[in-house]
Amino acid sequence: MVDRRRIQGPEVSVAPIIIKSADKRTCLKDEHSRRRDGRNLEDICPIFLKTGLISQANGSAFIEIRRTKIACGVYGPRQTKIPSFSGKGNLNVEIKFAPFSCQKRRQPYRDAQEKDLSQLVIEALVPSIRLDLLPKSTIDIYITVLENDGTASCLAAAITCASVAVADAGIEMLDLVPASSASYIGGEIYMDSDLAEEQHETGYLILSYMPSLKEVTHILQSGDVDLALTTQAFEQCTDACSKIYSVMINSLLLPIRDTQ
Amino acid sequence: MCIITVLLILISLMDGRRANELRKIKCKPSVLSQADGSAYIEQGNTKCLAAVYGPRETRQKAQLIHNKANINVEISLAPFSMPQERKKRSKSDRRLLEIASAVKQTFEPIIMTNLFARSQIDIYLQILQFDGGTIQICINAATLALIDAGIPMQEYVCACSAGCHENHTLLDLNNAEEMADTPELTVALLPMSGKLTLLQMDSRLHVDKLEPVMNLAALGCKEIYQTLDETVREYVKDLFQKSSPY
Amino acid sequence: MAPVLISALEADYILKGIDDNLRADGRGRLDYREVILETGLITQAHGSARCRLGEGTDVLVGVKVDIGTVDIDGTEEEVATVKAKRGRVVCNVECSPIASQQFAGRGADDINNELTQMMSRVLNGPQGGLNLEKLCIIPGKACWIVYIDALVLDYAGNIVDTMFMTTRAALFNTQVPKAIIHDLGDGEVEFDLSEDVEEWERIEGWEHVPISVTLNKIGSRHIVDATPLEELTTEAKLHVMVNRNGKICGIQKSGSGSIEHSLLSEMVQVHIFVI
Repeated sequence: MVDRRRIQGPEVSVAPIIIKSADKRTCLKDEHSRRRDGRNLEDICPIFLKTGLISQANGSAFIEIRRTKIACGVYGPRQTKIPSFSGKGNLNVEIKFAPFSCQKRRQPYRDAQEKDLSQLVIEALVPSIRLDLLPKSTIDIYITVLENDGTASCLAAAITCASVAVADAGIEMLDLVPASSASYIGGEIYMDSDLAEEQHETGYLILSYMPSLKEVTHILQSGDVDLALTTQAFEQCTDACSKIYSVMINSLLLPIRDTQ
Repeated sequence: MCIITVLLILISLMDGRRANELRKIKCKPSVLSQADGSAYIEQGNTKCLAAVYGPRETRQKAQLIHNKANINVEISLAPFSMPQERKKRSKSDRRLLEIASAVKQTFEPIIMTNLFARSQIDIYLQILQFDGGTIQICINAATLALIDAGIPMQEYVCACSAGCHENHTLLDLNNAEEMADTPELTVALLPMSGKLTLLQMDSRLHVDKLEPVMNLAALGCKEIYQTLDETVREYVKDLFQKSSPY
Repeated sequence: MAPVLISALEADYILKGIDDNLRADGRGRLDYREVILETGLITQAHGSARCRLGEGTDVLVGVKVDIGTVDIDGTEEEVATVKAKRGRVVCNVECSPIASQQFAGRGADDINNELTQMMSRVLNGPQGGLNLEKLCIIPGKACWIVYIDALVLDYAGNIVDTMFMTTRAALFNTQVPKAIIHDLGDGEVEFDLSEDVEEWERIEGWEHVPISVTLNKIGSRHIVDATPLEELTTEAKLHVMVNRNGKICGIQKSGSGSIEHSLLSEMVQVHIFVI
């Protein structure tokens, strides 16, 4: 902490404008349209997904995609403290970015963005969970983002991870909910973009989709995009969700195979 | 001598009124679809919306009073309502809480709360634009909304402020006049019985001046009563015409 | 008071009506209520508008502009260079308790936050339409910050669409005072605000600000501009923001249900039609 009483800076300061030459612009893809990490535009990253890491929780999962690391714990179903008149159970989601997860330090308390993301995760998961079988009960899902490598892909990973954790808790579901994201950069679709790519995007699409029911549980798009491009991104995300789905099933089967 | 003083000496207020003239009042009952009773009121540039819900069962056990209704007042101020820069006020802002409690205390003896044991009446006030005289507009709007909700009251409550600047008594101060360190007295009057239910003053006023200022404020209250009463009668007549089949 | 629960019979009545393309108030599935739009009601704000849908939903938007410092948050230099030359938009949505009893006390916090985030997501970024570079006064130093405050005064369904319509109108109505820039030499620049009230500028790009259309999925059909009862029957909502060029500026699903794959594409197509 600088002692302001001794070091007196000028009252008004101006941040320098950095002028960069055009050729130093970060290249997001090479001439073979491969991205910086060697992927094609439509490829998603390899996923590491493991269940049962948190011993205290009823169900838990850990996901790692590139540098994104998310841990999720599911507690419940438990009795709702002040039950409202409803034949359905409650789903409660809390997303927390660890203070060290982003390039700028996050505050330890929940901010407006985290509350909003929590709401999005609830909306994505609720259609898949049989809450009608759990009246007067509450399921708590706590998601901690340990490292964030692109907000859109981070939210998609959080939904995927939470869905696996719910399944791990043995709560009845209609289907697992894989989620995938795409960025629109220069009229092209970059699947599963990382932080550097995200800085250049003009829009993004996050889709969560139940493959066996062929139903979309959540969609969020931002940016100035043509209908044709949206439809294309939509198809690509659906395909990606199907791929993620197989990873999710494997991660749930693995511990069972081990015990056998 | 500041510009305001000059204007005041000419006994013509900043918006071209005379010293004993009220600002233009515009009011309309029953403006909202969801509330049991509502009203919109405009006094000069101060604009306020009021909504009344109830009487109904109390939600929180702690607020339950076993022999009468509990009155709950909440005031919110739109972030763009102030003439200065935008400022977001939380609902627990001290100034707003103070006004809310003043409004609550004003209405407690007037509303026949003993008719509604174990229930609650909610009065929500939303200030859309602020130009002085918050308490008075809140009380006037609440009166109209309560009448619209059909809640039994002993009589109207009308509020008005008056001030004193360099020996001149002034009626119904706006924001600029309030800012000029004018002592301001807000009075809430029951116009028929002539009783006072609220008397509030900040800053100091010579005791000799108190009586003329209070009389002027009471006159203002009676004038506001006329306007409110006319509006209510007009509205009821209109309703009657609409409901009769011919 | 807005209903919170709906009986199974009433839900069934609405559902069957929608199958026959007839709703309780006589509208078809894709009919809007009458829209009443007024501008310039709040003299203390730089711009304001109020919009009513039929006799129900009522939203008031006030816009205030303020001088602030540019926000160089971008970690990459390249992004910072762009940001240094831009103004900002700050959104805030409040549901007043006068609109509905549900919004009393802390009851509105969640919905306020949800709507605020939705609005900032749409208005910040290239899809927002506003020319943020025109809002910059001195690059890297001072810029205009546009504060958009939406106030929900009465609730009778379909807040989101009304909110975006009103915001667009309020931005059209906004008068930004003219800033006069003095060059003091040595690269030092200062500015004054014009004293003349008549001298003002409109925010450039207001005509590109998107509006939203909300589709409510009830049964296997979808409707626009739902009333509170219809909203309670709704399984899932889809908000689609579209600008005047017919480009999609945002899609968001809300509500607890899910949407079939094929229906979703169809719903997005419908939007373009409605607009």
